[in-house]
Amino acid sequence: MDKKKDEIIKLLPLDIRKLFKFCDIEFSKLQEIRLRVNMPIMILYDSMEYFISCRGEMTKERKNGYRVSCAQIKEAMVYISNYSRYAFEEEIRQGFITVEGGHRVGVAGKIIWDSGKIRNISYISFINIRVSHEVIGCARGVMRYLRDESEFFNTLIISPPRCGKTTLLRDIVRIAADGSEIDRGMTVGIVDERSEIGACHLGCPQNNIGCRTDVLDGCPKSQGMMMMVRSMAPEIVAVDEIGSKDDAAAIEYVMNCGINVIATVHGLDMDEVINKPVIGELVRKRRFKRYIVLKRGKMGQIAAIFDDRGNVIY
Amino acid sequence: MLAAGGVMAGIYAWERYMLRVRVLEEWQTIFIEIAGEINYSAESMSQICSRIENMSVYGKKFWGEMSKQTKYKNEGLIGTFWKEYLDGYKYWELLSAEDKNIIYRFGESFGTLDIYSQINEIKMYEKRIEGNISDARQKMREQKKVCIFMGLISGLMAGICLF
Repeated sequence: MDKKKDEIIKLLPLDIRKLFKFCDIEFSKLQEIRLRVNMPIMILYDSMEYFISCRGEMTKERKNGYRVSCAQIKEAMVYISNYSRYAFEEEIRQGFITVEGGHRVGVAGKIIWDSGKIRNISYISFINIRVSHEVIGCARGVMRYLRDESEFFNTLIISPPRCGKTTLLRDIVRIAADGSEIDRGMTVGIVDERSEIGACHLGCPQNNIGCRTDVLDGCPKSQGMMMMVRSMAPEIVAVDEIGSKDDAAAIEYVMNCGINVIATVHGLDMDEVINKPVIGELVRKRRFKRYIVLKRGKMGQIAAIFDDRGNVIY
Repeated sequence: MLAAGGVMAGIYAWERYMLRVRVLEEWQTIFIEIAGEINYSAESMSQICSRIENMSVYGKKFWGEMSKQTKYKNEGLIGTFWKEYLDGYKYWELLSAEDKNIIYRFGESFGTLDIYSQINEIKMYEKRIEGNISDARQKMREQKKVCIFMGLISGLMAGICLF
């Protein structure tokens, strides 16, 4: 935990670091730190919002919050980019940087356009540090529903936002890749478009994703899946947040190549996903054999597991 | 002998002009190296500083410190410690105020800009330092004879005074 604290504190401007050192924060419960120019520092802690006061205390009172200056935002960007802003130009263009430890820093500011494309974000005035929380072992209970003696089932994880679907996906990948005394480890290819699963920093995954896992970091899902199949011979391909026609077409291609897919999709329940125009088609064709639905409002809690016929098996 | 000693002293005085040229030439090479690293590999500042530490003759200590500080992010913004560590650069005191100003200004923006802006800025500083190198070489040529002549005269005068 000291390591995580150190990783996060070092992203902050020197004056704000002092506040956090006084603050009695358990970094295991810290989810987000938001720095907005001329606004008080805000944190999401144990699913509740607090401001940080000038004395380093967590408070609900906005007027007591320590206000962030423009210079402090610039200073934070220097640390976030490791004094090397030029090295993170592509990431800044995407709107986020993955830092050491797997934490994701979202940035917003003035967009510079060039021929209809985003060239850069200048005058960055809003920073959102999302603290990475790997939960190793959270998928142990579901693994027996996702495979049998001969195969690993195509699996779709359905969840509303911020309910732990990526965390669950990551642990499923880890267990599948590492194997166990009973199950052999499988080669897994992750297409990590938003660097959330592996959280690669300078090419190195910051999360534990298993010893037989390869990662295509920052690559669009549809192209990445094709590349992964052609180049890395995976037995399983894992992707996060599918939704577009291209994603669906790529998933069908991968499945037709005899490779299993684990994917996640936004949704409250099976009914909502079935009614989606693109992903619903895959569900109706019974391309996925297992559906894991996470509980709304509860982090990482499984509501139910369905098979391809819609029968509840958990 | 005293005349010879005087000449040696003159050569020593002239060498200070030569060292200024050498230090500036090294900075010019460093600017080119940094621009290349940023353009082609976009390595982090810590890695770039570490690489330059290996190739530098006069600034090993400085680039070593820069590599360490930018790796651990403890000392604050680069502008706060760049100037401080430059005092450890060999023969720093031989540089003119304008030479130092170029290097200080470069340090303030190093690592804070996107690729395009950073490379253009480095090119600008490299051009300025090239101008200073030309001036320094010119001065070196002009001062060579003066220093040696003054050294010789001082040696002879010392000889006359003693005897």
